[in-house]
Amino acid sequence: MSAVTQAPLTPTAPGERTTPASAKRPLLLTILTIVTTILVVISLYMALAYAGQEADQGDVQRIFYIHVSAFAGAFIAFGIGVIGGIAYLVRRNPRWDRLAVSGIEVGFALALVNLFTGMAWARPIWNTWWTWDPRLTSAAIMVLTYAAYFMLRNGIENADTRRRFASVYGILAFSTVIITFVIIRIRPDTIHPAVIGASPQNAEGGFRLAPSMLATLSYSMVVWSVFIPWVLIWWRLRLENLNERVNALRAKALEE
Amino acid sequence: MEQNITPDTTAYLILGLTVTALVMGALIARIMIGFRNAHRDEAALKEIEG
Repeated sequence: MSAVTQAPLTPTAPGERTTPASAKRPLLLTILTIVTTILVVISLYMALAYAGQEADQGDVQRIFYIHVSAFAGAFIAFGIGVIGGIAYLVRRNPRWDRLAVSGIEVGFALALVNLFTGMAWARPIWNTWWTWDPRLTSAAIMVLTYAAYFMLRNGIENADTRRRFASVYGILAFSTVIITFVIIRIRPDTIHPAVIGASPQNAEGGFRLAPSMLATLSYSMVVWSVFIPWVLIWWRLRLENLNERVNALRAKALEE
Repeated sequence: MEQNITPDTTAYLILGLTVTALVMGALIARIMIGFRNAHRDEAALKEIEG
């Protein structure tokens, strides 16, 4: 059974080439993409040049501006996945499912950035790439849970069933994001430091934020948790919409 | 008098930045390739549609 959606097609005369209004790139998206690129370059400059060097850790501490901000971005993007999932279950409109999958895909990439940059930092500071610390374990579970989301989607052929199951799964999967966020605040045995707020008593590798560091972290948080998810989800959503149109065209061609 | 010597951990910073660029680059490439393929398919299907 084909997993295509029977979306209504705009009737066209034979040989006529039309572009749906939704297929045209909005000016705001173009501006947003350019602005985000500039903001990312500025955030890199601030992280690598403006913020002071941490005396005990050296330059690797600068990875925290990406590490922390990428998690914030993943939190927002996965949250959009939840909004899309709930809205789909309520309204049963495929556009909400498309928003959910777009958010989760972007969130997954940001969560991977968070995980890998954490490993790069841990090697010189903890003297290991990985340890089964509560925070690291919960972050790994989070990433694997969302990896399974894509497997679930690919494993269900019926479009309605796929959307329904994926919506429920995407909502439930967000619990791993919340656990990852709060675990360093509820588990005293973690060695993972908290950059914002007091670190757990066993934390190793914590540091105090000088004013230039705080300014850089705040700026990076805005760039990675607002602009990057926004622009990437928008692009990804447009791709999902385009694929939907192509699937509808394909279904129509097969019927004829 | 104890002197605090800052360790040279620049290589790990570069590693972290490289991994970040690879992951985000892969996502952007996936979106761009997806657009290219979808536009190609759309054009072919419209051609068939006549």
